[in-house]
Amino acid sequence: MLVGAASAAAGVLSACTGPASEVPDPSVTAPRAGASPSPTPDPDLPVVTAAIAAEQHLLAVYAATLARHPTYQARLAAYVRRHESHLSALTTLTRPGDDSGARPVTTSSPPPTGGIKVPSSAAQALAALASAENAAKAGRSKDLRTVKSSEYARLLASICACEATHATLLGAEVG
Amino acid sequence: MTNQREIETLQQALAGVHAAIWGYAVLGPRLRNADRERGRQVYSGYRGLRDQLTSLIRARRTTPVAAEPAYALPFQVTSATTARRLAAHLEDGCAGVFADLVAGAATADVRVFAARLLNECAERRLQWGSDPVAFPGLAKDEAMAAPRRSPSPTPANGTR
Repeated sequence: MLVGAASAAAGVLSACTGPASEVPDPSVTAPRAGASPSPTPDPDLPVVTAAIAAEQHLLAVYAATLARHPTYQARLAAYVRRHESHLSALTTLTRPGDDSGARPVTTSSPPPTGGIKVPSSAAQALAALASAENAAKAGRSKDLRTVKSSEYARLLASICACEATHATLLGAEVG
Repeated sequence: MTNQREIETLQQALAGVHAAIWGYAVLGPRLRNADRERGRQVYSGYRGLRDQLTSLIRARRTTPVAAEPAYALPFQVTSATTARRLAAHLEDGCAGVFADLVAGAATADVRVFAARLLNECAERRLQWGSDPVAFPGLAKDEAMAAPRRSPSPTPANGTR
């Protein structure tokens, strides 16, 4: 059986006349199966909620780091933005059927940074960020083993991959 | 049903890997210095992965998809710079099929295997000089504050 062969290759090369975003659509949200307005609770809600908390914690670590080392603002802004995107995508999963976007994630307000210790050395602060990213990556990696929805698994795997690249880049900056 | 989806996404992953092998063979000679060795290693890694996916598909009593004789390049590879760009492009494409395999996996083992492949693509993308993205392997990465399902069809019947 050769189902999907040619078109899948197209995702990597043949269809490359278009942007990379023409890879077969992975539809980030697509929690259609669990998205019915029925009151049945989403069995994956605990996993998603934990992932949301982890993203919020990461954002708090970034905020605390930037408060202590404001010169990193420009360097770390894109990292923060990507985590905000993760948080937003995860939060969307907890609001199935709500397409109004009436309750956007309040990413504009800085997350609470209390209790987060930031090293005074800039290099150590970056190293601490790298290990926070590694911890988050490990968490998502564990989540995707247990999460029931395959679409959630895809999103968690993607966030995990992004956090892996963050950890690598931050680690490289430390040297 | 679940297994059928796993087989389909395994086949799509294999088809993507075939394309990546072809692409790395094309771009490899254009790479310079340390990149050249990295290109060789990635090429050889994809060949190993091809064999691995082939076995997984055979174990599911299915004939693995064959490589195409040739593929269309998105742009001409004429320099070390364009070679690196194509390599990053191949990694993005493979990230997409591996992310699909994460979703198509019928077991935790295949899911974790696919997630590891996705991680590796994202890391290699950096090594080829591209910036990180928020959602490796997912479409429409940019500015997706509220990601939405795109209306584009899945490629299940795209074979001619």
